[in-house]
Amino acid sequence: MVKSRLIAILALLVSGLSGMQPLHAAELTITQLEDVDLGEVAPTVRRIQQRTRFCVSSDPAGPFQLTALGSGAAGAFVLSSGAGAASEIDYEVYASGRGASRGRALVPGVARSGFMARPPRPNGDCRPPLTMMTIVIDPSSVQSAPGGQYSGTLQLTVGPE
Amino acid sequence: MTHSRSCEGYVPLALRFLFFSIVLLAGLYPAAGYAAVQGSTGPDTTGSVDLTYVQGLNVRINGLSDMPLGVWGGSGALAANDNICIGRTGVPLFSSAGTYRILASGDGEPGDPAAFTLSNGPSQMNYRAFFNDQTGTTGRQELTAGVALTNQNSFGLFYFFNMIFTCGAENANISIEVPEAQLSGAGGVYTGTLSLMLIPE
Repeated sequence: MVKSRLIAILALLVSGLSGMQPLHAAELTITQLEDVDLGEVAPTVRRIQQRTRFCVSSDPAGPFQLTALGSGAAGAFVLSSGAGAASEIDYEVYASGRGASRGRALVPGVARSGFMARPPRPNGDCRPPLTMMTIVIDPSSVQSAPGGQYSGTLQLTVGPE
Repeated sequence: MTHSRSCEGYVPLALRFLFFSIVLLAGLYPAAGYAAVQGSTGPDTTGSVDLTYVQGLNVRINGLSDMPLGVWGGSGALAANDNICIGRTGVPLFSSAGTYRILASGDGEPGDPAAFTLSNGPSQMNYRAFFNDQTGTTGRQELTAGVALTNQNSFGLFYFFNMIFTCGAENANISIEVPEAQLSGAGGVYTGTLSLMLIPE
């Protein structure tokens, strides 16, 4: 009788513990992402760049790491006009924000750490967004590219450090 | 810069260039619909943005000089030529896949506003103009005033140099010729301007 009660208590403890989340597990959210229009540009010797801000919140607030994947082969940062490799334009991605005031070059699929997320607000408001991303096209990437419309998708993943 | 006819004194002839190049945007495309995907809340979160860019084409003509025709000695035609630089974007460096057209216009005459003419004020003379898509005059093609000469071509690396370094690699030639028949009986200082418009194809 005593033995069966002990087994029942242990079973309850185990099932309870297995359902608990670690106290320090952060809940991250990335929002306010906006598409980036680099414009209609006739290539010059100047580089083309466009900045956009987005929000990363964490409960509790803390550091996060950022990983970017482009839509090229192996996640390469390329814009494509859909007519094969000859009509692809490389671009670079830089990110900055709290904890990383200087823009950091992102490498496809490689997590960059050192960013700080803001705590979430009760109403979900995250303004102003504190993480900035800069898309840069170097002139050397466009001099040889055929004219036309180029597009690509950039996937951003944030995770805890 | 000058030429003379025997018995009629010195008759300077000069031809100046006006240069035009066209920036041709590759069409106006409708803006892409906004498709940014926001992340959900969790231990990690992923969102995505769409990037769009419209690549135009640039061309550049450079390295042109005034062409002095000199002093006519009383017989034969007068001619001059100049190697120039054509730049164009949108061509791989080791390819000849990008063509262009050249449109030349002179000072005009009654009935033909683009005619290749030199003038001393009261009177005019006609000249011929030629374009070559390589240096020198061998293989040149005669230009028709106001009509584009199409399908001209060069090497991507030359185009690139001429876009980046102004005139990094001479890759074309413009030449003119005043026939003897036009020079006979003319007197005075004749000048004119030849305008060249470069258009990517």
